[in-house]
Order: sequence, then C-alpha cells, then structure tokens
Amino acid sequence: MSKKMIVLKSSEGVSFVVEEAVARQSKIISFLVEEFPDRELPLTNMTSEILRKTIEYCKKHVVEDDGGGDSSSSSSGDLKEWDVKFVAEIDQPRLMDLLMAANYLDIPSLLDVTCQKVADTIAACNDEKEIRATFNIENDFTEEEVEAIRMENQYPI
Amino acid sequence: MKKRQKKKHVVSNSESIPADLIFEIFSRLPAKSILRFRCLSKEWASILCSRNFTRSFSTKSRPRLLFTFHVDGKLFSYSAPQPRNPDQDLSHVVVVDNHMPILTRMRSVLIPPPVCGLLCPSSMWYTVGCRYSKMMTICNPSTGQIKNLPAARTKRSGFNVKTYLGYDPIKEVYKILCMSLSTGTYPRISQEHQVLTLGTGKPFWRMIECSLQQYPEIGGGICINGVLYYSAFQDNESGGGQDYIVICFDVSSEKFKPLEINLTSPTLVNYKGKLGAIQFDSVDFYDGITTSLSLMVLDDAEQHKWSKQTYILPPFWKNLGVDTCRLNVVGMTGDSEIVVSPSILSDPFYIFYYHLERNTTVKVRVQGIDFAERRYIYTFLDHVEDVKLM
Repeated sequence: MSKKMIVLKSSEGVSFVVEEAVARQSKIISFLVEEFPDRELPLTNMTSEILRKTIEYCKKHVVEDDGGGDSSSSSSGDLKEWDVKFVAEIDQPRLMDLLMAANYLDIPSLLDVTCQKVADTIAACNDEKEIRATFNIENDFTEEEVEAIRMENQYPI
Repeated sequence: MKKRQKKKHVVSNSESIPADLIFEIFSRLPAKSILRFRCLSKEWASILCSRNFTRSFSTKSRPRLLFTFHVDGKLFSYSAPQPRNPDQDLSHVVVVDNHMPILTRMRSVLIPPPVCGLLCPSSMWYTVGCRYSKMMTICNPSTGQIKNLPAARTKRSGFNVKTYLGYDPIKEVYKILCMSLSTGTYPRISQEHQVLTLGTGKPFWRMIECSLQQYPEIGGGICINGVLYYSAFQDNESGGGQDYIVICFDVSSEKFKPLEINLTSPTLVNYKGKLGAIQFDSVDFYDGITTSLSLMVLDDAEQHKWSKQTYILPPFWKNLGVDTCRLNVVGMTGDSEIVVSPSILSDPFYIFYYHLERNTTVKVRVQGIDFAERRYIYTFLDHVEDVKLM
C-alpha cells in the first residue's frame, strides 16, 4: 500500500517529503492539506532545523499510534520516555523555537511536552538571576520597586 | 483555527514569547513560583499580575489536595496535585509542597473548606461576641497573603458570629456571609445577617434581609456554582422539636432558601458539581459497626428533588488501619470516590479513597507534612490555586 506523501518547505526553501499521516498531527497542516491538496506547503516561519525536529517528533508519534496496538500501556510508557529524551537533548533557545513551532502548527502533544520542559527548566532555576539569564530577560526593576512587590506579596521572594 | 492564524510569528529565539504560551508554561508551575517571577521584569510582572493570567492559572492548574493546620497563631498549609485513580496507582503516595505559614493572630481556628483558592478561617465557638468580630480574616494559602476584614456589626454581647465564604462565578466576586448566633441555647438561632463583598475598594458589611428562622450547625458551608450550602435546623411546623435542613444561599442575589432533606446532619459534599449529602448508618462511621452509607444528590434545587442511593461498605472498612483518631469525610472525587481523612495530624499520615461503584478502599500515604503534635488537620479536595492578589 503506497502512502500519500506531502511536501513541507522550510524558511530556507528546503523541501521535506513527509507521509501525510505524519504531518496531519498538526491541525494546521491537516486543514491546509484538505484546502490545498497536492500542493507544497510553505512554512516560511520555520527553519529547516526546527522543521526537521518537528517532523522527527511527529514520525515517532504516528508510528507508535497505529503500530503498537495491543500493548498500549507499555508503548505509551515508552513514548513518554522517548518524549522526555527528545526534549532533554535540545538546548534552551531551540527548545523555545520548537515550542513556538508546536504552537504555530497546533500540535497539542508537542506543545505539552515542550511547555512542560520549559516549566521544569524554570522550576530548576535557583534564583531570578538564573531565570533571566536562561530566558534572556532584562531586569528593568529598581531595588525600591522589587521591595514594594515583596511587601505587597508578603512573601519572602 | 482562527486564533492560531493571527500568530504569524517568525520562529526565532530573539522574539519574545507570546502571552498565551507564557500562560501555558506558567500554569504548570506551583503558585509560589509565580509570585517570585513577578520580580523578573516589568513585562513579566504585568503579564503575571494580569486578570487574564490569574484566571487562566486557576482554570489550567490541576485541582489539589490541601492540608492545613494551625499552631501558635500560624496557619500551615501543604498541597499536592490530586491523585488520579488512586486505586490503580500502586504507589499510593502523594508528596506535598509546603506553602508559606500565614500569621492569623488567632489562638485556635476552625477552617471551613476553601472557596476558589481562598480560606476564611474562623475562630472557635467559645470566643464570644465583638472580640471575635474584630478578628476576621481571609487568606490565600497559595500566595501566603492574609487580609484583615473590618469588624462585623454585631451589637449584642452574648452572641457569636459565624462566617461563610461564597463565590459568584458570573460576577467573579467573593462574598462573606456573616451572622450572629445566640450563645444561650442550642441550636442557636441566627440574627443580623450581613454580607461583605471582597475586592470592591474598601470592604464593608451590609445588612441583608433574612426572613428564615434558622439555626445553623457548627460546621462550615460548601459553595458550588454560586450557591453556598450549609447545614441548619428549623422549627418543626407541628411545633415539636426541630428538623434538619440545608440552607441554600444564592451568592449573587443574596437570598436564603431552605431545602428539606431526609437525613440528619449528613456531610455535605460536591458530587460531580451537584450538592451531595453523605450519612453513615452509625455516628462514628469508622467504628467497625458501620455497614452502609446513604448518598443523597440534589438533582433539582427548585423542585427539592433528591436522589438517594445506599451502599454496603466493604469488609475492609471495619479496619481502616488507623487507630489513633477520628476520621472525617472530606469530599468526593469526580470518579465517585469518597475521601476520608483523620482529623488529627499523625506521622505517618494517611487518607482513604473509597470507591462507591467498585466497593474498594485505598489507603494513600501523604508525605511531606511537618509533624506537629495534637493538631487538628483539615484536609480538602479540589483546592484551586489562585495567584491573584487580594
């Protein structure tokens, strides 16, 4: 049985040939495929690197979804483990890009794992300085303002 | 679909994170982290303090188990995500996070169930009259915030004041219902009904009409979908004695309505969004004699329509394995489980999930609570963390 393939094009113009079932995990692509069948889909706001990562995730999930079948609990456990490894191997800037891609393409499960990873990263930071450094946030508060917030919260920040 | 199309972000790290993704990420963090992150930058502070964010935080974050107790004028609280299907999870352990202790200034408190994240601890019954009325507070265990309320207008000495917290989900306001109760007789008739609305400038008490003769019971109320329910008695129409009733107080319209129920002093619970009332066939339901329980569910408050089911308890019930102290029914899960908790803190500390349909009981160990001796502990289900400041 031949599988229907579609073409996704990254911002650099690199084409990726993907099984339709794989790409359809994105609600946006699912919609676009129906609207414009047999067309190359340009994803002008995604780099090849991030698109490749996204496809890798979708491939893994589509195989496990219709393949495993009977041993569903263990396969879903394996999948979870795979997800954890998948996001663990990505550095912070790329993780944010992947998160934005999951949001843009509307892939709920990928959005879930990336958001969780970012939340875990934040939770693991020891202080505000570390979070600011990780997320490129500039501190524009004065000492007095921080003090005022502390007073308001009545919380030892 | 439409929502997504608007966001034509070029995916690159230099761009700041869209607000709805910040919501998505921060809803996965404990409330105390949120408070710290308000100091990161002005932009983040404005996002994390916005009404949209605090609303989304409350709806997205999972309901939690909340444990509180009071030691030397401080309210200690701990919470953990509610276990899903504890009878299928073989570890049977929940690990709690501790919250900031809150200074209450009270010597001993009763803690009614939280309403949309807030607690309204009330002083023990024997603290009489105006002394107590000046010590009313409302607090948020997630943020550690506590707010003193103005003294209720109670003119009589020899009266206690009793408070109930309610939430109107349409107008998104908290209201506190307060009434004076005579100390002479039991049960105590209520008078001087008044309401305070939170979050509307300087809070003040307003007297409200109550034509109902009611004798509220000691316990706290339960607020479901804008209606506050609490246990009370009313004079029997034939003139002899009193009947048990449930009072419904509509938080929005501030009207009282009595509901007849064919049980005596049951425990009121939230049963899948409806009012449920649980009563065992003996008073101390963990005494080893108890064999069944009745659950009444309010199907239609207008028509006073209740449905009733009786359940035969499993043999395990006879020996729950807790020999130290009293147990209380603290609520029901959406999966038809009755949750039972000891009323005195112990180490180790366990709670119990009894599944009505499967007729099974699971003992869940609660880890991480700092032990204090001879303390009443209050266990609550479905606590929603609220990070907005009062």
